[in-house]
Amino acid sequence: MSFDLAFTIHNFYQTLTGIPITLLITFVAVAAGFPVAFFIACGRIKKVPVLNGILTLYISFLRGTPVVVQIFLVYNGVPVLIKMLAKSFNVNIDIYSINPLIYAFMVYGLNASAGFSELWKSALSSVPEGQLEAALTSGLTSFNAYTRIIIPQAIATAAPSLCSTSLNILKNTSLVFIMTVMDITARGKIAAGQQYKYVEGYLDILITYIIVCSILEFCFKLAEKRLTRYKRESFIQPEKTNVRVGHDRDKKCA
Amino acid sequence: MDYFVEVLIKLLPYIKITLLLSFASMLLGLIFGGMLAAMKLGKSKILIKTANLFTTFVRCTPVIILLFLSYYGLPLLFELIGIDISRGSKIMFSIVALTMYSSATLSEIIRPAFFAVNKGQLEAALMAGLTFFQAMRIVVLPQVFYIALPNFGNMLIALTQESALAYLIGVVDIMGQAKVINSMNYGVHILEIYLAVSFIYWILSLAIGRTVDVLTLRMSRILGKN
Repeated sequence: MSFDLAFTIHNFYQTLTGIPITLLITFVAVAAGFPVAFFIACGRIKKVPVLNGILTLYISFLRGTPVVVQIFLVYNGVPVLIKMLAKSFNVNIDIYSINPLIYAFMVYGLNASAGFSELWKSALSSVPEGQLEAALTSGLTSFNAYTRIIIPQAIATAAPSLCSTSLNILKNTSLVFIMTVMDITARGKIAAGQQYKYVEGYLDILITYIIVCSILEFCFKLAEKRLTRYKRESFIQPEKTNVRVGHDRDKKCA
Repeated sequence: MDYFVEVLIKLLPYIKITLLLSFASMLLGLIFGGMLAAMKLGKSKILIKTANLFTTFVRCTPVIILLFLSYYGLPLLFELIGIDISRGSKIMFSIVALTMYSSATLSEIIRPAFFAVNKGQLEAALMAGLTFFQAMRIVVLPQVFYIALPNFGNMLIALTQESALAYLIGVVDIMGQAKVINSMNYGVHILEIYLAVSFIYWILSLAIGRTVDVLTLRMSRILGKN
């Protein structure tokens, strides 16, 4: 066994072609899981009697079982469910024609919703209660108070863990090859397996993930700067107001 | 339902392999992670850079890739110095991969825990006549451990779950045995089997979480914190 550099470089381009699928799954999971997690977190903070118990169970199951097992459950369980539903409604659905990508979206969407709900929970409780009360007293509706006052502040506090949770989801998507989805890992693995050049193949996959993760991390840093801008810039600038007050007074005297 | 219970009983003996993987990599991770954290807290620029590079590298890589790389790559590396480990136990290779993962993550847990301990504690201990190592061992480290304990618990849970991937290189743990049972049944009972597997992992995670909670409470009493 020896290291084959030419194969490594050739295979690297193969591996790169898997990036869109990996990013797509991550993006769908984050985009679906993030808003859902907000409502889960609200339900748990408000302690709605029965719902709270169900949500706690839901989260503890998703966070307490490995993603591989969840993949097996969804990939084998959901078709059975669809078949049963289709039978009871007399609809003809060919379950074998469903794109496995759909199952991937389900697994990682569910996972993301559980992961983000913890993040939302701590972020929402980090915003002082007075903020909501002040917003409501100044005449905002409860919807506006949340979308304009509470959520922007909560997201700003949650930004760093939002980054790490999303990157964790991205890393976990490396398991979709079990569902025959062709992502970074699957592309690299297949080429490596054909020629028995596992070390080279996996090194390519590793480099690809490091590149993708670094780029994403950089994007998140930029977004974080934008989101926390209100903490650094004050919208009421004290020096300017002072000048204007003085100016007005001068005018009055004159 | 009957089959679910039957599989559950068949899988129970393999919990010890899963626990062996997770606890061994946790312990080794604590040792190496502590060393990495010490490198990061030290003054040498080269050591800080190396430790940071290793951490970023591991944290950007899925565990499954680390697993495959250690399984296929380590024999290649050892061949260079003339040692043949390609017939080594698969459990050993998976522990190596999981240790890489845990040591990188644990170093990032231990480092901030050090900052959270008041600096006056170390200074007071040194003033009271303890040597540096005594002060660390008796005064500082127990407090670091207490602060980091909840995160250690989360790490152990994460390791238990990641160890499920070891079946991909052929380790027969809970997942591996589930695969064996599944192929013996020609995939007929696949849903029951993986429901049983998820049930076991769920209970394991809950049990670890509970134990850590109890330990934290105990330690807070010993250290006199509220």
